[in-house]
Amino acid sequence: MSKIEILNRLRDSVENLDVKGAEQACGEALDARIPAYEAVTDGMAKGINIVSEKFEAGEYFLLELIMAGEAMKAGLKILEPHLKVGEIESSGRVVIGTAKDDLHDVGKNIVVALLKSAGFNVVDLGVDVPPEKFVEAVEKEKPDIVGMSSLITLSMPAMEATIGAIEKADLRKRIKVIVGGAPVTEEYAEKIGADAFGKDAVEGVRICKTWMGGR
Amino acid sequence: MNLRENAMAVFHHEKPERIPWWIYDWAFPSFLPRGSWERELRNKGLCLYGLDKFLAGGPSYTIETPNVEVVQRSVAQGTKKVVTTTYNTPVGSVSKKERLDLNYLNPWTMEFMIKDISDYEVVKFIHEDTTYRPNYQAFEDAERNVGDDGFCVAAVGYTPFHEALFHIMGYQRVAIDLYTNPEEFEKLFRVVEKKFYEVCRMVADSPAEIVQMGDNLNGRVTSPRLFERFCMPIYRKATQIFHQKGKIVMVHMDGALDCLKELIPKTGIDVVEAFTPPPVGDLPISEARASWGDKIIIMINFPEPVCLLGVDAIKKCTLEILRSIAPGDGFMLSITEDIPQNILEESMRTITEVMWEHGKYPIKL
Repeated sequence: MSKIEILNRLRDSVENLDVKGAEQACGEALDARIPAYEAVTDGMAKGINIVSEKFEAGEYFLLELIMAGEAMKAGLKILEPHLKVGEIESSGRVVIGTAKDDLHDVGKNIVVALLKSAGFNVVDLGVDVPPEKFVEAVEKEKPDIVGMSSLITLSMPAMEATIGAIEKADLRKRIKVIVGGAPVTEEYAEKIGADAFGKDAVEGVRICKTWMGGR
Repeated sequence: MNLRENAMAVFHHEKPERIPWWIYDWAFPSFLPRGSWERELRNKGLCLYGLDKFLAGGPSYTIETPNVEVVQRSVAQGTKKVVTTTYNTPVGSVSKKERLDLNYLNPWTMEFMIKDISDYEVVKFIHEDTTYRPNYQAFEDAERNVGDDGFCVAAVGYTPFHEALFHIMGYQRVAIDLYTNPEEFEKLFRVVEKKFYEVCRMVADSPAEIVQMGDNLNGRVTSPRLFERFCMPIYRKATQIFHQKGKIVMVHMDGALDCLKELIPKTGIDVVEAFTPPPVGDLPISEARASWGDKIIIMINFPEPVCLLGVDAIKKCTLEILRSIAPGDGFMLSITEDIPQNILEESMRTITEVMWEHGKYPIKL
């Protein structure tokens, strides 16, 4: 099988939400001595882009995004040991988490998967993340972007408190803040001083890419 | 008309005196607390909706699993409590972990019962072992307690697909198993479906006039393809069971519904509960009405994040909703989501006052 054919298989396996297919194609890529970073960037990442387009076109839905993330994750597990440090240029660094008192993680996990496949270096703080933990992570990880999600109205004020805490720690100017989640609106994002609102995972990642100048 | 008559008029496709405006009738840990401002608002038309499963006597049926040992262990964490429930059956054990929050009604599932393919057999056993008994007295008590201040509804629970999403497996596992273990998923689905109809038949024989399927339907998760495959046939059959006994059938659909708008009327249900318009949902009220005609009653959920934007935003949003539903046939307004306690009173008061001033049928705005 030619290099192009293997890369296309990698792309197609992610697009077709085929976890086993992604694993097989990654094995074939390594056997054919295709550099692991090329298998990611010219194979699976292209598949994720197609999945994102299909999501925006209303052809794919949340469960399909989850499965695309699973296929990507399975492939990366095989390729990661073969990736050389610094081989893939980072698109930027993102600290992300679900707001305090909120345990929803499906949407946030999809954003993480999409960000990673877009080349971002992601620090996932998990769920129910208090403002002080975000502040600590911004200090330590020095991200370009902080992402927060909230799926219940009760936890939305925690996003405002987090932005306030980051400001108080004098760290706000060095980062962009993006918020999202089903009850979050553009107006609310503006009110709490976020830089952007992502109406869904795909849009959120697109905004992050724009901020980083597509690097 | 008292508040009950006013709401029932809408359920029966008759003209109300006012557009019913309601809140769930459970006082704690969320929704409407009891006290002076609550009494004041209810005297200004705020109607109570008693969903029996959240009231003192529980739902109109009880559950027994004679061959399943259920062991619970809880660990307190401040205002929160983590509860691990283990189900021991003759075919094996499964467990789930939930977090209960004093400030939030529904427990949050941290670990679902199905974590692995081997858990399917156990969960199937638990469902097959489940028997139901009528608990109609509890419903009658609940209805008597609400009296003329509102209406009571008998909860049927979640339809099988949503039961899998919210209680048995979670989104992640459903997605994975639909693609990688579809046979196992399908087998479990059929078992849960069979038991669901047993509940439907029992609730259909209850004294309740209105029944509710929980579901939290969201088109972003339950795509049209999944809806047609896993929801449509169940809604149709359940609705048929209920209609034969003269019940009014509602489904809690509080998510994005635009992609499902053509399919929903084909289910035969009577009421879409918790219909959430933009900016939270994605289907404008006018489009829903245009797609569904007069057949489906729409219980609008006030898009609760607006409450975080202050009194003026709440007023504006309430007026916009009223304008969009004028003259108001087949509509109710409600709040079905939690609002932070520190803004609950001002939010409820603002909506109630706008409804009191402008919510008289027919709406003239």
